[in-house]
Amino acid sequence: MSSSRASSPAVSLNAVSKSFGAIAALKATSLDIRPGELMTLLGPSGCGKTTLLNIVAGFLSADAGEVAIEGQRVNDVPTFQREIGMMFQSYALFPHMTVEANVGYGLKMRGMPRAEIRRRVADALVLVKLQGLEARKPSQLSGGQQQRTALARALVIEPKVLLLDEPFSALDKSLRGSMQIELKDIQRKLGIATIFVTHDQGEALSLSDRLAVMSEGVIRQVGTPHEVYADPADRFVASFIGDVNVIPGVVESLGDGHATIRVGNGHVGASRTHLADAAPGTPVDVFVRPEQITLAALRDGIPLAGKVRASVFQGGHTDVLVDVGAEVGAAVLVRLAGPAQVARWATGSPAGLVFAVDTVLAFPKAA
Amino acid sequence: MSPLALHTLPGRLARICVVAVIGFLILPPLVVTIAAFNEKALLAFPPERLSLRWFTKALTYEDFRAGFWNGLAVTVWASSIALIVGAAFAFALDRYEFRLKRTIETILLSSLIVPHFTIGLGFLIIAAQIGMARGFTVVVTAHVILVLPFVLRSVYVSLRNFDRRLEQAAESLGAPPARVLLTVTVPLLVPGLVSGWLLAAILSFNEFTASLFVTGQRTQTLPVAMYNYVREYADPSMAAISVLYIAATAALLTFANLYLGLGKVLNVEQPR
Repeated sequence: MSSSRASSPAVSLNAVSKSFGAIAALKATSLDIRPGELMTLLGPSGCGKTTLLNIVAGFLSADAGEVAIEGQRVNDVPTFQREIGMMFQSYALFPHMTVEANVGYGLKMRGMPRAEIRRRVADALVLVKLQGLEARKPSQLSGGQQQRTALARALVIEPKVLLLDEPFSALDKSLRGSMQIELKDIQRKLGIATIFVTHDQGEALSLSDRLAVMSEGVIRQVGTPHEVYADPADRFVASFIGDVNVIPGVVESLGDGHATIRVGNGHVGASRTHLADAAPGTPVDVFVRPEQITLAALRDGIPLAGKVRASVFQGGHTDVLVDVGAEVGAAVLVRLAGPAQVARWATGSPAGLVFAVDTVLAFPKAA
Repeated sequence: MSPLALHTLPGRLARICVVAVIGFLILPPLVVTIAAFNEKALLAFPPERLSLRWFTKALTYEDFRAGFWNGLAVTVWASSIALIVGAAFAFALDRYEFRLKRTIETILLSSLIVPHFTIGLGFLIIAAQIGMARGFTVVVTAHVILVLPFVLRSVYVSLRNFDRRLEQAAESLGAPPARVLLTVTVPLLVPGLVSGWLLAAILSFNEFTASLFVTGQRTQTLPVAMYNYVREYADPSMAAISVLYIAATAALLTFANLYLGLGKVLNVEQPR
């Protein structure tokens, strides 16, 4: 066994399922978390991501399937023997203990001598930049400081895997960004395998080495943030990650690797990966991200023409909403870089939409 | 402008109601306190001359002294036993699912509905049936039954408000279940346990109806001793004892407030 230890995944889930009464929270899910990697479980509430995390932590037991940590089956190992570090959404700091006692709790439970605990706690507090606050109670800390305490408490025991349950959702927005960068920094420095649960796709894209997109108890896609963003596996992933325009259309022709989709008064070229053998005339939805469309003056060869409904200055970029005809319905959102675009694409002005062909996806209509 | 101006008729009525309620709360202890200082051997109001002689009488009268110590012993034993039993049941009701859970809960809380004299009478009959003397065992047992619902409620509410994730956090840090209980759960439940104990102690120390049935000459508690005294005499030593009662309870609550915070003790304020 020990020879395979080094290469075995930090955490391995094999066909794990869990039901609560009649509700299947997790359906035969398999996932490997590699050593040192930050894996995000991303999805809307009720998708099963928290259930999965609780199964790894041992707070819930799987109905079926196998959970392994560093190659060892842990299905029947109680939480306190799993050597995990967990950070809770509410931080769950012990309110009757000081910062130092909170952080040292796990070491104390391991029977470590006092002097050694003191030394390690001090190191952990330096790591999360909390030195000097040892004697404070959690109620005397700011939200950010509470979070650092919770992180130090989870890390100081040198766990085999770090579990993060929506750790940023209780922080205000200005603090969130800097804490995310710090967390990622610490995680990379320590090289600790991490499972991070969030419903915030921005957080998932910026922090993950890989992410697993979940919905209705199923992992829809696993990949790097770029893979999942640029090449979503299905309609759900495409619409859950990032802003996306969903434009109804009809297959016009299928070529080698590409499809031409008729949309309103024009047509759009799309990747045909997800269309299989859809016959011409099949209704589909075109998925295209707002930053992958540019606007041009109307001229011949412009595939889709429209009229600007509104231009909204957003600071670093400009959002332009373009009407492309009644049969399309909703206006198309176009995201243009630079602030000078508001004046150029004033409300009512005609505009041609130009698509970066290999970024446009088409999915069959939802059944 | 205020929605209920004080010069309107409903406004005036509301004001009279508030004053009346507060008056009726304050008046009885006030009258009794003043009557306690009456020099004459009469429960009269207002007193003509002031004196402390009835306090001396109350503190030295042998039945009162015995009743006080009896009552204190019964209170401490009954509240402590009720706390342990009540906390165990509250824990079971909060954490576990089992058959007849609702039925058991109803039975545990039933002494809220059953009159005290019924409980007292019941214990009296049972004790007589099994040939048990009217000793302290019977008195303490009756008091445990009487205060149990209050302790149970108090601990149950604290458990309901307890954040289970704190226990999960301790567990994730390597604490086995017994150590989670000792280092996290129990310390955080202390305010609830203390408030339950205090409530039980105050109720038990003041309990009269059931005590009248189950105590004998040797085991009578202070309220029973006071009742027996009033049947024969009507001097202000009753009033003096009332004042001492109020002072003692106020001191106890002040102490609890200083060391634990009244909000926590009364369970109205949630610890963070």
